[in-house]
Amino acid sequence: MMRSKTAWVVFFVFVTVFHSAARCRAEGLSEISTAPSEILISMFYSGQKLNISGTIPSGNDVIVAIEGPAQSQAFNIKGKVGPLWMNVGKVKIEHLPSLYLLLLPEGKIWQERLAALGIGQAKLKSEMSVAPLKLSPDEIFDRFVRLKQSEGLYDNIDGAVSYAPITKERKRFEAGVYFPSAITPDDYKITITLVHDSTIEDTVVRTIPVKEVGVVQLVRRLANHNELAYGIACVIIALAAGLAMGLIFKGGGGH
Amino acid sequence: MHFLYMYLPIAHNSVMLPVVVGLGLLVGLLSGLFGVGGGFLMTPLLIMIGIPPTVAAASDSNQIIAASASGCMAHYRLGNVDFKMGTYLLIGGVIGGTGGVQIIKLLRQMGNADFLINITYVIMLAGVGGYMFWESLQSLRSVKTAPAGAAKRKESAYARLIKSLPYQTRFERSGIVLSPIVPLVLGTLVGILAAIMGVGGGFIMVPVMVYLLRMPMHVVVGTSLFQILFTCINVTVMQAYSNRTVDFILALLMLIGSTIGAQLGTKLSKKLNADQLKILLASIVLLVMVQMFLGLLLEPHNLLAYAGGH
Repeated sequence: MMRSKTAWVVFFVFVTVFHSAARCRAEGLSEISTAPSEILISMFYSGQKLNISGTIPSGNDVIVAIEGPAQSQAFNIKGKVGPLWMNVGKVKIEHLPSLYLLLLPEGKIWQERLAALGIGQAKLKSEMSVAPLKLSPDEIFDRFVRLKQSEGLYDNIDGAVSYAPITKERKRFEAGVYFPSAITPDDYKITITLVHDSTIEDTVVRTIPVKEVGVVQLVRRLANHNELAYGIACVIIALAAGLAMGLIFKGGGGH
Repeated sequence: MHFLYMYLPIAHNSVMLPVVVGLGLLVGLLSGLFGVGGGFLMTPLLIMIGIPPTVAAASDSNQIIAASASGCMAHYRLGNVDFKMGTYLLIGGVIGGTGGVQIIKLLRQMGNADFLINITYVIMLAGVGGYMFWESLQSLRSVKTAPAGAAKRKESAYARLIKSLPYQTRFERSGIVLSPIVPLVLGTLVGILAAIMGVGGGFIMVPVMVYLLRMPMHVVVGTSLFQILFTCINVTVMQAYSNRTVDFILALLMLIGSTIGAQLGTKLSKKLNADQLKILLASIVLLVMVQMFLGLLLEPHNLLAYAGGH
């Protein structure tokens, strides 16, 4: 009898815990989906529209961060030598993603709250490593971001997240961005953060694979795994094209 | 997906087809007209459209193979290629190029490489372009004003020196008698400069052939293309093998334009006389010099740049 009571108590405790957890989940981010589920780089790839959607509680907001793989890159630092501008040193920047797009709901207030939330470029700056340290990290980071922005690889996009009401308690969010063309094949991380006032309520991470297909994949494999054969093939094809064009024009040329 | 764009697997970026084919056409035209590879013009243009500097330089070498083969064939049919002279210059160029690579390594270790590269570039372009422009202008004017059969100029010290060298050989196509030591030494010097400056060296080689080897301008163009062809074959294979920076798709797009451009350039070159050709080339060299000089004088948009270019 006693055992049976204990079993019932344990059962109710489990049910309550799971129910609460399920409710919490339902109250947070849910029905998250990305379209397309993967990005394929074919010969005519020039960027692709990416949509991230889901549902959230009505009084909350969503911030979506799309992050590329961390890279280690060497850069030249320009400086003035006498009256001339030229390379005056080199730095290696590590632990910064190749791509960082932050999709924000409408309203400039977000830009100020990002640092407090630990999201965005302030967070990236704290993770960055620079060697040798010829300039202040702040200055290096600002120049790095400006360089990446000019290539469309780093951006904070205001108004990229929109909402539509579903019920009184919940609304649908949709974040859209144009995935840039200057990307490398890898797994890209999508972090969806649910924000209420100035606190993070929930976070969901998804991965979107970027893959090369067809001719693009073939050329890169050949270039990376059969370097000499690839080099010789490049020369032969270029020679053949040049000579073929010479023959085509033969009729019109000559003495 | 858009059929006006194409993704480049090594450059990791997509480019607009008409832009790249158009750039190829322009550089091919210069190649057929003047016998230059056009790397000094094409590489900065490719960097401007978002191609990483190392990929731009290596892929440009690959497309120059097509343009120079196309132009060389067209000039060969016109009897404008001096294979003998080209071979001597090529041997010198390979020796000089190898030495130049070692010099640049040493300079980089000393930390002065970029300063020296930029200054050498501007001085070379200004010197070569300025002299060529002035000389051709004088020549054009004297043709108009000088009476037929004007007195022969006094032989210079340089002319006496090259005449005194051993193994004097006749170069049929160029119509000159010269010791092979001269093209070997000059080829080596151009090779060293080209390696330091990171270019093929066509725009230095052409004036060297005209003024120091005294070759006729039309033979200079064809012979320069012959030499560039082999230099670029070597560079392409080395870059593909050592650095994996040759983007064949990019090269293919450029060579569609450049092979046609080289043929058109060759046809056009027949309609211009040697001095007109020299003035045109000098103007382009001077324009590139001014652009480079301004780049050194004006503050760059961003003080951080990807390593790999100058």
